[in-house]
Amino acid sequence: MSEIISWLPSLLQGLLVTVEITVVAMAVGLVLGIVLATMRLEPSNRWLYIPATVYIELMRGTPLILQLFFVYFALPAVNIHIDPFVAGVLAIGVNYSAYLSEVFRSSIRSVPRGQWEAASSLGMPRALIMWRIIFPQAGRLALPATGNYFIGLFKDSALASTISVTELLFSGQILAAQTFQYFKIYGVVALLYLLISYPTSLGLRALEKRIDLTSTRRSELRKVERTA
Amino acid sequence: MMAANEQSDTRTPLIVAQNLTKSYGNTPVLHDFSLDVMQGEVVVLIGPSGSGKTTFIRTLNGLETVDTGRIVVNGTVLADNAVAGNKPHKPHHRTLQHVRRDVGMVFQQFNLFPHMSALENVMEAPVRVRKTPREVAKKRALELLDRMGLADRADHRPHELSGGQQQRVAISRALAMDPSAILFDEVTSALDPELVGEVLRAMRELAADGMTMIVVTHEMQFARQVADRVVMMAGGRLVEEGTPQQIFSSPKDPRTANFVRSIVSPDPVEGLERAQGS
Repeated sequence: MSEIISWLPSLLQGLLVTVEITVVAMAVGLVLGIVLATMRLEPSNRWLYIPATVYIELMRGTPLILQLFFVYFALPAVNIHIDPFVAGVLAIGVNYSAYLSEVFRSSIRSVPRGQWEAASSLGMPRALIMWRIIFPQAGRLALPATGNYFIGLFKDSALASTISVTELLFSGQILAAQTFQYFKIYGVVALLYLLISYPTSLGLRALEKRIDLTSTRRSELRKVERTA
Repeated sequence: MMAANEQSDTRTPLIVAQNLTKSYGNTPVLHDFSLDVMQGEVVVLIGPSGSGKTTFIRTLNGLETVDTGRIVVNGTVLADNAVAGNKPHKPHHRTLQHVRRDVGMVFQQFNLFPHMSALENVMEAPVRVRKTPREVAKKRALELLDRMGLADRADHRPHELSGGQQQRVAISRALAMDPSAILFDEVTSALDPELVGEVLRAMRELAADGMTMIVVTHEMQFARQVADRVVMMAGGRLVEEGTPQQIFSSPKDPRTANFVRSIVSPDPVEGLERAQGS
């Protein structure tokens, strides 16, 4: 037990880096994903549609670990040197943006046509319709799949260990190489991953319920606020 | 109500549609269709499904384009004799927005914004499009909802409302932009029968207040009581037009007679056969 406690500082430090990679890479993935999804909404708009499609196929058609290696090991050949953490965040975020963009695109498409028509019939311009009417509804539709990708990204962040980012897995590997206590160390590492991923998935489920448009809870709350 | 017809010679119509044609591939949906609507007039469009009624009113706010013909809405030209065979004439998006801010539309499926309360649905366009101050827009929205008998439903989301209530919110939403005219596209067709009355009553009150309305409906009782003019369409053409009295009691065209009989027929199967035989 005391040895586990002695490992904890470096493992927790690793966990912190893992969380940092996850949050920043997810932010990159979300922003790029929304941009890509918007670029692919109108196939007739070729100058946007084709580049976005090529990008997505490239990212989805090659292994994430190869993309990591490419950013970290191959780019220096053309004189682009990137810090391991930044390289990891970029590669993972860029990779996930391809998958997320498909989630967003299908969610945007799933908002009924009548919503577009009603908003346009009020004279709302396109960008405003997107922002006020379509995105809020598409976001709700996209949440379950986006949440799955978020947890997937959290676990895939371990790949950054291959380009020497000292995140949770790599911290464990270092300790294991010193002590040969593979069973205990990887067991603790696994528990630490679960410590984050399980509550996150519970939180996502709660969030899904909260923003569900068919739940009456919120208008009841508003009513209470009004009468109070 | 008769005033609108008597004055129609001396005033410019609010809405002008001349010689509209439109087809999907080889299927014509509008065929040399013309109709003028005067300020304050209530025009009811009737006809079998597929006769082009819905397509026509959707051309008036640019949700559909026409292949050829001329459309002028409150002085703004939406379409002007675009050449047949060419790509459908597409108005500039600013022109479209301008017309849409001036002409409201109410849809068969309500199309309320589900993530907003009734009040927010009504306030959205005035606040975001017209830049009306929030407090002013809110006061006006509450007035409109109250007028529609929905004062106590302002904080409810659409899914918490009945179909009839949703449709009355949709009418309030259209009214909030202070439109010159409102297009009604089969607004009671998706409602349970017991909810139709409340929506029609709201529309009748609007008509009495002088709102210009173009109404596509199968509610013949409503047409009889509220319309200044009834227009019968079939196959994208104007078959016959006249006062409700003329159309319902002494139609000149056999297609009108058949259609009117099929609608009021107590036997739906017989009605269907008649309608198809026309």
